[in-house]
Amino acid sequence: MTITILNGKIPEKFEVEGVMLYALPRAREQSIFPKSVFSDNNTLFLYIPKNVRLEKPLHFLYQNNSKQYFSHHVIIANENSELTLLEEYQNNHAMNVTTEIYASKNARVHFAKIQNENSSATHDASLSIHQQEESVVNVFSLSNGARSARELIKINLHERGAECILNGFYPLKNDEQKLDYFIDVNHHAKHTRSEMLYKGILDKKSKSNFRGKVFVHQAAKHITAHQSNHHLLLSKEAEAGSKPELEIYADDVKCTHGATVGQIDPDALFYLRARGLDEKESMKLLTAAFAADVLDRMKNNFIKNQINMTLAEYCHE
Amino acid sequence: MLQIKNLHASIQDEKQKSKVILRGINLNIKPGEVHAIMGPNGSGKSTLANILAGRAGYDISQGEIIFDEKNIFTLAPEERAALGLFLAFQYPVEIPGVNNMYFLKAALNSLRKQRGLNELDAMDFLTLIKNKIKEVCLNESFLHRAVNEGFSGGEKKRNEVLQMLMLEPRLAILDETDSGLDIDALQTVAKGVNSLRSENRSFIIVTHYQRLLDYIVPDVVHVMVKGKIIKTGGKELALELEAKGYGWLEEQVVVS
Ligand SMILES: Nc1ncnc2c1ncn2[C@@H]1O[C@H](COP(=O)(O)OP(=O)(O)OP(=O)(O)O)[C@@H](O)[C@H]1O
Ligand SMILES: [Mg+2]
Repeated sequence: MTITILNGKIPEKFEVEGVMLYALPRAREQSIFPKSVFSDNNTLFLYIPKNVRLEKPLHFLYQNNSKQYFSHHVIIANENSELTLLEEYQNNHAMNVTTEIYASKNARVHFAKIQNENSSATHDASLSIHQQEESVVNVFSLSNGARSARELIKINLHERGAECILNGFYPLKNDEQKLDYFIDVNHHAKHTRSEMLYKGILDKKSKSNFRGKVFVHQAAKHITAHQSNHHLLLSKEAEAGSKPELEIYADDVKCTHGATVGQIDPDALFYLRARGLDEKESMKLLTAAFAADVLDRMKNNFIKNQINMTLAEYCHE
Repeated sequence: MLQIKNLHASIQDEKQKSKVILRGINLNIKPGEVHAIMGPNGSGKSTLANILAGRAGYDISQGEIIFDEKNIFTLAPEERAALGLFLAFQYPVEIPGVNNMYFLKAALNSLRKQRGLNELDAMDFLTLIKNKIKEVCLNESFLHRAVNEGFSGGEKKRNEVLQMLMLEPRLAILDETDSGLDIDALQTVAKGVNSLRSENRSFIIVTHYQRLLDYIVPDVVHVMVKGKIIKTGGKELALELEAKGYGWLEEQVVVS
């Protein structure tokens, strides 16, 4: 179900498969949360009760035109519940968004984001996730839009068995385009697991900066954390910075990280062309091959479709 | 079909120093002919093959390459492929993430399009490739893997021959397609080439071993040393090289 937020107009109330979705003023009346938590009216509040599994993805689509816009999403997935949510951004000016996800025991949250803002817009996002016992959260983000975009992500694995898997793809192709990722994953408890795979393709004079930090607290024994960040540069002037960090205070942990910045393999390009594919087609094949593994991580068909449409349009511009 | 006239080529090495590789190559290949090129390591055989296929990065200071009466010097690799040039690489590159079958279909259809033919649909393509892959004795599972990724040396060479059979070039250059092959594979490669031999299709076979030439009998054998063709003869020249090595020829060059 798609909820379009046009020019900042948040719908007051929605019912999706028996679950209520509220804009904040109404959520306050529900008194599930302390009234003081939120200060503005631009909040979408989503509460998934215990044992409720929403089959269809929820889709927040932001299309606001001219002025700067602030938005706040609060998602509470109660025990044993399941939710798939896609945030999609197609704005013209400036977007600031904060998303908070609370995943209770055994909850499954699939969170995806398509940041496809206008090429002159700015996008500033902060995502924080808190996970309890045995909960699993999947994060997938495609960031191809905006002139300048910043993504702050903070993951807290509070209880035993919590797992968070983060994937992202960022194809940048405009001279002034700039993207920053700052990701913090905090392992607070034993047997928690995190995995990060982020890939960027940078053309023209675009710039990306990735900092991924895994922090393992003293109590967090037997955890697993993997982090990788790979880039393909299509022009000599593009820049990709990558800084994986690990800070470990516990014993018996399995942590890996890797980062690369590379170019198209000229031998592969020549091989394809020598068989008759033109340069453009060959480049398309090789860049798609680079992105294939991270894009394959998205299993939801509806979201996959939105991603493919966005990419197809983006590559044709 | 192919004429190479006084071709000189050099390359910038890692230290940005110019290194001369080809020093005046002359070759004339008529339709239907099979030419073998032999010669010591580093003499420039692969460089010649790569230049013919259109690889960038060489400095061609002199000479001409005429294919079907056309100077192909300025043509891109894909345009040369469309004219019917094919290079089976000495070291086929692995391309992770690009599906072998998808690649072959795209390549074949791109060539057909450039030649003004209609593209093959999925069914026709599948029938064709299933036939051809049997000829090179590769399992169909190789079609579903990434191009050459994790293929053994011999499997890569068979995959090159498979591509040749699919694309049906007019001039095929096989750069050491026999190296590292077991006896069965060698016969498979030879069978592939022989099945394509016809009066208007030509081959350049680069090899170190006379053994392959027992199966693919050449019309002409050339010996390349230090960027020059220093001797040309019939198929018996290959036997002589096998017996005597290259030393006696190199001495002759020094004397002359
Ligand atoms: N990119 C390059 N940079 C520097 N030197 C090169 C480059 N390519 C080729 N050469 C040099 O040019 C010479 C000819 O190489 P080439 O690969 O053409 O030889 P070849 O006759 O095919 O040898 P082999 O029988 O071993 O395959 C060699 O000395 C090689 O090192
Ligand atoms: Mg060679």
